[in-house]
Amino acid sequence: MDWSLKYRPKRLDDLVGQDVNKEILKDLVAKDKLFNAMIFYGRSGCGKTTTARILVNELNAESVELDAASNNGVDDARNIKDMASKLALTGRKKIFIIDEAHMLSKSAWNALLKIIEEPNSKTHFIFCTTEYTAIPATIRGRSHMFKFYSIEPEVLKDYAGFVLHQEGIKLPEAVADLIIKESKGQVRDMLKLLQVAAEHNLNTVEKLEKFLALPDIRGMGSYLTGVLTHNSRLAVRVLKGLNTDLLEWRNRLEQLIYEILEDHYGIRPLTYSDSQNQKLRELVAQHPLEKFGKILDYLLKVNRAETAYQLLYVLAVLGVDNVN
Amino acid sequence: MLIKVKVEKEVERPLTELQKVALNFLPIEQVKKFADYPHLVEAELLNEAREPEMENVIRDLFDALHEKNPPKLLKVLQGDKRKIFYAYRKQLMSKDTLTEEEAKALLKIENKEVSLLSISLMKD
Repeated sequence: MDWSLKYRPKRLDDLVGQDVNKEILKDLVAKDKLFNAMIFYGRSGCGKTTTARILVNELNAESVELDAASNNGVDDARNIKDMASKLALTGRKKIFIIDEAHMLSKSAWNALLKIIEEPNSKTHFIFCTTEYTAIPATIRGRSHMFKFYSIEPEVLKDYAGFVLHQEGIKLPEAVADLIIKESKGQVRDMLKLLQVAAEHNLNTVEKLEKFLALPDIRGMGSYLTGVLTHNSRLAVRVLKGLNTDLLEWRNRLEQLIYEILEDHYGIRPLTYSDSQNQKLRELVAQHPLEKFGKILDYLLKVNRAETAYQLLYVLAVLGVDNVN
Repeated sequence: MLIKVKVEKEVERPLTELQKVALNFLPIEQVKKFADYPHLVEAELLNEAREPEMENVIRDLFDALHEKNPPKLLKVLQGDKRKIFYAYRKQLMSKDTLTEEEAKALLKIENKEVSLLSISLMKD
């Protein structure tokens, strides 16, 4: 079974992270008192819709879900308005979950406005969105917003440990760390990667990198060294040996440069092997910051697949001081 | 028989001092709910510092560039760097008055995308 489904939270207590939202919503549930209109806002995969559904369960409410990405017209909104104006026959709360709410049309919002301005005591709206500023000010002004933040790496790591324990599977810490890094603060993505790693026996960083087709950091370090020291032979050799999506490689290279600089200034330590970290730190110790800025500027030109190889080749051959 | 549906309007409550402080970093829609949960404001602000809204990112970015402070800049550039660059350029282009260094930056980025790191390293 898909772990992202198996471990999908069913109660507010099961939510990973989101502590502030969790505490307020738990309190509201305990008091059986929900705000009339709420905006659940945040990046995709942070648990907005899941939390809305949990609220329905915990309040034993009736729910109506609408995906505004495909039902964004005024008729859809009028349907909701009609449904909302009638009390649930059971006397239970009625919760309308409007997913991708920023996609609703202006006329749809206008149709909803009245019911949001004058809601009945049992009707509640939850607007889930990745762009709260796209929601009209008239609606925002009558709503309470809950921002769903990406999950912090240490919280994800604890949760990964819990899931692996439940599944009776062991993964090396370095593999778990890479999974957490690749998940970018999203529980769902982390669970998917964790399951892939467990089921395909990806028990080393190298195996996982290969499986995910992640660019080789060692090669990038060598390319950077070649570009910074005008060792064109080294840089070209790396480039010719690449068997990957070059735009993705360029993106990773840019990310690596920022990671090196962040490590240098003590913002966030590098997370590669000790020897790789050491080599990358030597680069920033030996070369002025301006050169890294120049490389970043140059990499911005590498934005089309058709010319990516040529432009990366030019940088390799000429070196950082002769481009821009 | 028609049943009259009870209308329930939420009472607008005046913001507490703490909520007013939070308004420097969070939109009002996000702040209102803390009326009964003042102990959670600090935690929310820490969350926001980790993942700030673009307008706050740009405000900090202007500070970092003005101070020519690469570490501060790198802290600001935690999100989508390309998105931050274009938001910065848009903001710069919409300003009525520019400092000399902002004018130089605008000249440099008017027609092309440049790394914000190199802007912070521009010589006077």
